[in-house]
Amino acid sequence: VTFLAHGLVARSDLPIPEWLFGWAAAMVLVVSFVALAILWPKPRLEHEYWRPLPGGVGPVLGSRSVEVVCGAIGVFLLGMVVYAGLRGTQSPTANFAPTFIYVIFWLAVLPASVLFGDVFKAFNPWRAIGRVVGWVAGKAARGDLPAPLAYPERLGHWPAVAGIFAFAVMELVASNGDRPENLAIATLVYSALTFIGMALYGVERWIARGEAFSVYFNLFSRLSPVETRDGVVGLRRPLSGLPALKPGPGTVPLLAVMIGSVTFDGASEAPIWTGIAPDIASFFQDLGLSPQNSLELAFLLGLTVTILLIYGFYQLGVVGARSVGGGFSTRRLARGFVHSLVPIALAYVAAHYFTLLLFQGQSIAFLGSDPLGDGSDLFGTADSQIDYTIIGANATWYWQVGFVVLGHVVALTLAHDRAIALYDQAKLAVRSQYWMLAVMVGFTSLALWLLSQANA
Amino acid sequence: MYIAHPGHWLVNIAYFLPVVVFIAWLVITQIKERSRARSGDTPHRRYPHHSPSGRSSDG
Repeated sequence: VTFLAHGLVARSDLPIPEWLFGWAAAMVLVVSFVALAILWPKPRLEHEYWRPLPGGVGPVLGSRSVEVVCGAIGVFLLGMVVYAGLRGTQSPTANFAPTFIYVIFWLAVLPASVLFGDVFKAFNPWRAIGRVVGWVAGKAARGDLPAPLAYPERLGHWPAVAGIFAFAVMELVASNGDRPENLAIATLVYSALTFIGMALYGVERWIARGEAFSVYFNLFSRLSPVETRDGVVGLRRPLSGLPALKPGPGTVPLLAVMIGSVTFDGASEAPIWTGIAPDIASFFQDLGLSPQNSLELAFLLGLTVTILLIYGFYQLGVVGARSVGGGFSTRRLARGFVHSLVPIALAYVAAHYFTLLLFQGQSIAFLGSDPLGDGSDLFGTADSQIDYTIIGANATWYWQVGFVVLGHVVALTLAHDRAIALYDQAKLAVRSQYWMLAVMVGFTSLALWLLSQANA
Repeated sequence: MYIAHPGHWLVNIAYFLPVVVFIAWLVITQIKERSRARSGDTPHRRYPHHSPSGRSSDG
C-alpha cells in the first residue's frame, strides 16, 4: 500500500551500528532467562485473580447502557467507512475509509486493548447488529427462535486465520487494496460472512471463536490488567489473561499469520525482496498473466512463504523443547506455549507501525472533517496537517528497539511460567526453555533486521 | 550485485549471528549430553550385575 509507507526519515548518528542493537537485545534476553530461572521458581500467572474496579466504577463501565452507546458508535463508524468508500473520492489519502481501516482500526485499537482490555468487543459493530437483530427476532418469534448450532471444535480459530490472512492480502498484496471503493466492498463482504457465522453459531460464540478481528484484538487484550466479567470491569494480574487462553485448532497458525504478515511487510521493503520480486513476477507473466496479476501473485507467494517460515521456526523451537524429554507431544507443546507469541506479535506491530500510527494517525483529524474528500469541513479541522516533527528518526529507533526487547522479555516470562507449570521437574522446564529462548532470540534478531531494512 | 557488495550481506548476517551461535551451542550441548548419557548407560546394559564403578553388586 503505497500511501502508507513508513520509515519516513533516515536515522543518523546512532552511537553504535544498528546490528549491535540486535546483539545487545539478545544479551538482554539471555540475562532475563537466567534471572527467571533463579528468581521465578513457581508458576505465578496460571491462577486467575480478578476483582472489580474500586468505587463501584466496574459495574457502570460494564453496564448495558455503556455497551449500547459503544456499539452504536461502532455501527456508525462501520456505516461511515462503507459510505465514504462508495460515495467519496477514490484518492486513498483524501478518503476517510483507508486511513480509518489501516491506521485507526488496525493499529490504534491495539494499544487501547493492551491498556484498557477488550475494548473492541464493546465497539464491535457486527456484534452490536447481531445482538439487536437477535433481540428483535426473539421478540417477533416470541422467544421461539431455533437454538444456534454447536460450534465445531475442529474449526477452532481457523475462520480467524482466514480473516486475518485475507486482511493481510488486502493490505500487502492487492495492488488496489487501498482504493476506498474496494475497501468498502470488502467490508460489506466481510460483514455478510460475519452475519452468516453469527446466525449459524450464535453471536457470542462466533465473536469469541470465528470473527477474525474480535479474536485478534482479544488476544492482545489478554496482556491488559483490565478485564470485563459478567458486565463488570475489573482488574487482574498483568499478563495473567494469556495463560488462560484456550488454544485449539488454528491458534498457532493464527499467531504465525499475525507475525508473518508484519514480517513480510518489513521484508518487502528490503533489498532481499525487491531484488527477487520482479523475477518471480516475470515468471508468472511468462505463464500468461497480466503484469499486475503477476506482481500480486509474487507478493501473495512472498507473504505465504514468510508466514510458513515463521510457523516453521516456532515449530522448530517446539521440537527442540520436546527433545529434552517430559513426554509431551509436539502439538501439546506448540499449543501450550503459543500464548507466549502474543507479546511478540504485539512487539512486531508496535515497532513496525509506530511511525505510521504517529504520523498517518493525525490525518484522521482532517479526514474526519472531510470524510468523502469533497471539500466539506464538518468539525473545522479540514485544514489541519500532519506534524512530522513530533518524533525524530533516532528516537523512533530507540522506541522500536524498546518495543522489541520488552515484547520478547514478556514472551520469555510467559513461556517460563508455563514451563514450570507443565513440567514436573524444574531441570526439564529450564532445559525446554533453552529452545524457547532460541525462538525468542531469533524473533528479536528478525524484528531488528526488518526495522533496519526500512532505511536500507 | 550482492556478490559485488559483500558489506550488505555481512551486515545482514551480523543481525542473525546471535541466534545462529545460540542454536549451534544448544545442538552441540544436547548431542554431548546424549552421548554422555549413552556412555553412562553402557556398563548397566553390558554388565547388569555390576555397578558403574565396576564392583560386583552382589559381591
